[in-house]
Amino acid sequence: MRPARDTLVMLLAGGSGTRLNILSSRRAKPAVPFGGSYRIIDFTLSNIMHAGLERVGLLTQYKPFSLMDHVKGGEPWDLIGRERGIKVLPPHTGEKESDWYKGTADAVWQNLWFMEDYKPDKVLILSGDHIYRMDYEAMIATHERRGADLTIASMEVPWEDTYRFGVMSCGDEGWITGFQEKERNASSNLASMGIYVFRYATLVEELRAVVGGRQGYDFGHDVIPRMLRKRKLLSYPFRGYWRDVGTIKSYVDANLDCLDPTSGLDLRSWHVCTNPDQAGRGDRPPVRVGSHAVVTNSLVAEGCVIDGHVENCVLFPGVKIGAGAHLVGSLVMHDCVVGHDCRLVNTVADKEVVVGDGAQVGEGDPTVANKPFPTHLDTGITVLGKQAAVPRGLVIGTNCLVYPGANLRSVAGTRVPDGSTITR
Amino acid sequence: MKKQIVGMVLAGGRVDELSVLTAKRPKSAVPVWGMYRFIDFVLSNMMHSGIDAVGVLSQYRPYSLNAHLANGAPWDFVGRTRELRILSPFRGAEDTDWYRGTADAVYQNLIFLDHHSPELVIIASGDHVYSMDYRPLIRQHLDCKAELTIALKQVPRERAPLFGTAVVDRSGRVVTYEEKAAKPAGDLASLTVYVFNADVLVDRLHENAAEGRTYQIYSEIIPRMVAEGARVHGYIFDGYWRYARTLDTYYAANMDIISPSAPELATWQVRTNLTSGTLGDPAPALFLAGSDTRDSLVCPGASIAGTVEASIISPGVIIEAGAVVRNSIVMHHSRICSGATLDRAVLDKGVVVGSGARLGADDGSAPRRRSKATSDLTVVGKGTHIPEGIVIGRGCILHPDLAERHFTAAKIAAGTTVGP
Repeated sequence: MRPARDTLVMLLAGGSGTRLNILSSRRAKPAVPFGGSYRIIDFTLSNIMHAGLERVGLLTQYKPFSLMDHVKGGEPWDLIGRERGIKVLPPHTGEKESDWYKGTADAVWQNLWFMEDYKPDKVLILSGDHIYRMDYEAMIATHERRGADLTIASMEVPWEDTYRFGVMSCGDEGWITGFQEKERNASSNLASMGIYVFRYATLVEELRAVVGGRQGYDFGHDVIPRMLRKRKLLSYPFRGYWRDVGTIKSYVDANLDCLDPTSGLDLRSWHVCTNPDQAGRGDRPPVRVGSHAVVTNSLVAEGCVIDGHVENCVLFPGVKIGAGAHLVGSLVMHDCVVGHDCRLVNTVADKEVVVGDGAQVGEGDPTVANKPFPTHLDTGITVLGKQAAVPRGLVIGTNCLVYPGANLRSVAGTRVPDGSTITR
Repeated sequence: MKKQIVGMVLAGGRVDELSVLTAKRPKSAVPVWGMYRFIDFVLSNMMHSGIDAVGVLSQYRPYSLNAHLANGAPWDFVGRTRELRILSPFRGAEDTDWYRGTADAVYQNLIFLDHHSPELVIIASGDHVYSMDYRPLIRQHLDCKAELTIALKQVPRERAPLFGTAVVDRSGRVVTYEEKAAKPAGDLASLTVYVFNADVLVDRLHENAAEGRTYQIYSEIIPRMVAEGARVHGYIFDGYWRYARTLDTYYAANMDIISPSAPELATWQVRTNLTSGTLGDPAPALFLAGSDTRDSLVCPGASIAGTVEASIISPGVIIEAGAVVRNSIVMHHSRICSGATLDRAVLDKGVVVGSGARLGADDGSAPRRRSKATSDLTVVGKGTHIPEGIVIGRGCILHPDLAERHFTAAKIAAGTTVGP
């Protein structure tokens, strides 16, 4: 019997993805569009499907509507049937507590009733925030074979990034001897990927003691460090493509990685599945490439009509690119319209953005960081929020942020300087 | 809840003129415009017109059609009272027959009408490419108190003999109806879209079952109703409408979608079955560095490294670097290897064209004309593997499932048929 059968999945999909700024201002991070036809959570859901896992609790919290729409009944990932299913688990009021999830461990603990329904042998805890392909089945099998109480997927990260992760030290044969959560002076660069296989009994005991005892609410901060020495904690090394896409820069880079299978991100061989009905994908015709179009090193989703020049771009469904327009290194989401003779360079356009004829977006001095958000936009990317309208001929610099629905007609002059943020 | 109208789709036929494309499927299941099949158009029209109980009459090699239709969910035909029924031939107590014609097919499935007892029945062919709102047609039918209303479209005089044609009077009433007459009186062609009063249809089908010879709605029931003075009306449709009776018309209908006057396909909202095996979960189309694509339709899952001009590229097609595809239709998951060239070729699904092979090569010699249905298009059946470096002339027909060993010569002359 496949180990998947007795393993329940708890998928944490509540992340707000603050550093993605306006891209996640109206949707949870797992629901952010990715790679032309997908949302970020599709990668985790597809991994779940390929591992033959059949029972999933989806823990939501932050702006869950697009996510719930997208996941629907779980059919696209074969999560529907007598024994298969995905249940959305929103925060709820209990007898005494009426709380939002206070952390990852709290979210799982508050849904103990759900897990008790299944009484699984093991629980696989995942987050819906990452771009990767991983064989959970092999990880679960290793957990079983080695007799671990908790197995944590791990990967080596550059030393300068360790402060963003929980890092672990391992002894012989991968047994974990130390664990630090997001500390400046890390003693190891072996990072936790936030993917945990718990023995169910262990999970319940630990959550009861830590979360139930109000000692902490987070796996990385509170639960795992307490388990050191008294439980058998195993590191399960992962070597492959894995991205957090938590920042605008890493989000853009990962999208562009889809263009190059040697990057390690290969949508085709990964066999990523999505809900084809989302955004009316089912009604959209194939891509139409016009007589004077040039499309090179780009990923183009259904319903696009291209008459311009598109290079190193990802176009999401239903995008129209006018004649003479020139797009480089940009992500253009659903139903955007880019007019004639526009230039879009290193720009992310969220859904339904309209760029008027002759407008130019995204070129300038990348060292001029965004004003209110210098840490979000400082690498030469401009983001146009959902339904933003760029008037004809307007020039928008780099590291700029245009809020969803912003009307740029009130902008004084014909140039929006580098690093500007326009909120209305 | 009783339904006002139910739909019946005629989807069983094959036509020899589509050559190897209908070797394994009825015409209604032949791919068109990259990711669709013919039947998607009529089913999408029914869905958008609010017709939500549909019977599909299918008979010839129905496997791929049935797999495509599934339970009708792609067209929203699933629910307490919504349904899509595949109506296959069956053995009855007395009737033990294959469908003898369109009228017979509907007649043998009167149980579908009994079950719904609708006031009206719309019967439409599953072989046509068009977007039509049936609601105005139905409204007109009711307003005129007609017994039968036929959708008609004006066609050029010289092409009228290809169709059933009608002459209508000022009130819209059909006064003459002829089926493929040599010199028809009218130039209004029937689109094979009929709205019948259900009781009239049932009576006429019983009558035809007893007295018919061809058992066809178009050649027996309609002419007889007109001749007997029944209230048969015409509904004029002037939108885009195409059929594919021959390889050349099939090709032309496909190429329409990349012509400057192409219909606005996005507004049609054509639905197809995206979850079926062949479409799978396609990634967006990938245009690799160095590729050159112009004037073409490209479906999800395609990957293009070579040159594509004026062609239709279906889902999952791979065009390797250095390959050149011109004026061609390449269906699902076919692979054009490096340096191969295609011109005026139609490739069914899963075809592999070996490196450096040339298909539809114009070697200057006139293709041998076998009949007037013969075309200069080179057509390759499903799953055939074409060896490296071979030169195949224009107007060739390559059967499905050929392996390299079936090709004995390095050059195949124009107009040749290669079989197993």
